[in-house]
Amino acid sequence: MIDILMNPAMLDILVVAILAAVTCSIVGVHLTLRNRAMLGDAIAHGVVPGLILGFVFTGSREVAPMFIGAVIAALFLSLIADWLKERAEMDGGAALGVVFTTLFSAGIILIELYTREIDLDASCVLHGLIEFTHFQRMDFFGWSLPRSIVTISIALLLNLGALLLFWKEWKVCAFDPSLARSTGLPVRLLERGLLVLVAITAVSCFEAVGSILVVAMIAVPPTIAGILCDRFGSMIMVSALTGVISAVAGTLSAVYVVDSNVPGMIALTSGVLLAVAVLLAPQRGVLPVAFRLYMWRLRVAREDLLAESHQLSESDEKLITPNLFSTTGIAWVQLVLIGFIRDGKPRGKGKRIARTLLRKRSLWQRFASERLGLPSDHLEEPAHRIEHHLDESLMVMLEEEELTSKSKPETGR
Amino acid sequence: MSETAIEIHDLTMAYREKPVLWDIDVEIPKGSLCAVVGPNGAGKSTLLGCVLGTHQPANGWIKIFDVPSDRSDELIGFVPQRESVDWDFPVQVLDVVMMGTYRRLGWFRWPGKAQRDWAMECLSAVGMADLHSRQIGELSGGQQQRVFIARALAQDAKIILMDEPFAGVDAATEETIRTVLADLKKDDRTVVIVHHDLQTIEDYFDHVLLLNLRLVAAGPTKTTFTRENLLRTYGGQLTLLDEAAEAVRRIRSGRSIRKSGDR
Repeated sequence: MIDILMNPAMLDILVVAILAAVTCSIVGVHLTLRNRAMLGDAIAHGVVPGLILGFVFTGSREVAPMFIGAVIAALFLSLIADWLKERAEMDGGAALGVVFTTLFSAGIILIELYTREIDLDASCVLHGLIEFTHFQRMDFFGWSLPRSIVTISIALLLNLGALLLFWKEWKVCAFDPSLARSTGLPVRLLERGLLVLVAITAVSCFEAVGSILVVAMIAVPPTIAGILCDRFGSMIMVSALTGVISAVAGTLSAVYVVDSNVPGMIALTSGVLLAVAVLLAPQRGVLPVAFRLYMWRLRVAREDLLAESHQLSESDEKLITPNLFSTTGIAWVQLVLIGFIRDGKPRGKGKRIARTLLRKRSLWQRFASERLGLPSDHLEEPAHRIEHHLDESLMVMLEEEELTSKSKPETGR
Repeated sequence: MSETAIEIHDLTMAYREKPVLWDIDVEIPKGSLCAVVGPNGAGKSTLLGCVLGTHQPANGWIKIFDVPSDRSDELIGFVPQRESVDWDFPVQVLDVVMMGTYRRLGWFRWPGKAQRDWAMECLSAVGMADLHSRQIGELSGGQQQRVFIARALAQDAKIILMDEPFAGVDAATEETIRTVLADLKKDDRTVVIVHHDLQTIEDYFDHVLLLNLRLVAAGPTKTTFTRENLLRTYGGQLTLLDEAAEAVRRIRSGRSIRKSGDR
């Protein structure tokens, strides 16, 4: 671990990966909340011709002209996609897909046509040059710094600044555009501004990490955050944090474990994290939900067993041990282990639970027949199901109901 | 008569070539509880959009309390149709209500304690204060409506527009929404509601606006919600005609679900 931090080349890679992940995951939250995460994908690819044209027109590899070209390409892309959606009545996703693939292909062809002699090539567009971060340095106010670190840091500062300045405006625009418009917010301008920000983010991260990672970092960490959070602020924090975790884990595993492409490993790591979140998120995860459901079924089975054995014990019979390889069986084992049932009869606290449940059952049956007017053959089943859901306060209500209906008979008829 | 809250003059609205609203002229008095009624595609939601300022009319103007709507400072509250809200959005109840304070707060300023307190007050007004930290998707239909009404209160809106708040809610919820509406009316706020259930118009609303691309009729429910007007609004639409006929039958027999005015 120490030797990683001591190795300057390695450290630079790590820093770039972290910066890129945070930058992308912040704008990603905005896009995800607008159900437009794919816009990140589109922009990351669609800016390529702008980058190249910026290069072609000025003939230099200065950052500024390429940046401007890319931002123009991003705006062009979103305008065309919007136009197709509104005027040609295309589906939003389809419009975006058509436009960005066309632009991206145009960009690839431009690269092949104009940049044969130099070191811009098509494959670095896909996965970037993060491995060489340390060796592409630039002068920054007298300091020699890796170029990617400078550009991505600028993008990150811009993102953070805009996020803090327009926090509530962007939130309203995403959540309820009609409120935003009715209170006079320039919704269109704000949304375009967001696009520019996405373009700046994409372009600045592009050289270092390539389009794969830009797309992954814009889409995946915000999705994870969306599963875990229910507030805008916490979603941004969690998104950035997930981005950092995938950046660090991805970089280290790429260099030390599989000796492979760094951006690819980062994207893969974030995908794995997403899978973990989908499965394990405490509130909405698949497994916790299934677990809670199963716990509930066990509880129902336990209560039913207790009630049944209580009824049987009153006529001096015993409950027969159920098949142990079923939910009821597991519930039985639990009851025997904690001593609520012994010799097929309820004991101690088990007895109390059984009595309460039976009281709930009869209360509900009476309520259903007298108040809801259900015929007697419709009472058993629903009472059996609903008895487990009645809590104390509902029981008190039912009992009061009972009393009032007794005190003045024949009112319900 | 009392002053006019919303005045619409010669309003025409078209999506591309297809006209959605044709020269609408109508005045909605302050403090009224007004239903906008008409068949599907009659332009009801579009009319709300024009008043709200989210839709740009092709022709005509709208005045809010005698001020042209584009120069009006008056905030108009809007309770959107339930399907048009993203209920998975990561906001809590109080966050949504706070959004009502954003406009008065202005750019670059963060809501603080004053805004929080005000939002809580508005939530209490609709009886939702103890649910303030729920994620909005966890609420029931009626609670969701009330959150948006609270947001309109937070905007200090004198005019509140609602797009089908009663659609798909159960009887108990309908009752709570009605209570909130009664409170709004008591506050002298003007409420305009797109409503589909012709059976309840007479009980719920004191004004009605019948719309089918053109304005069929508008005015106090007693004099406007008549057999002739309903037939003119729904004429030609056979399925809806049944419902209209049922409403007409009830008008004629002088009965309504609950006689209005005997609370």
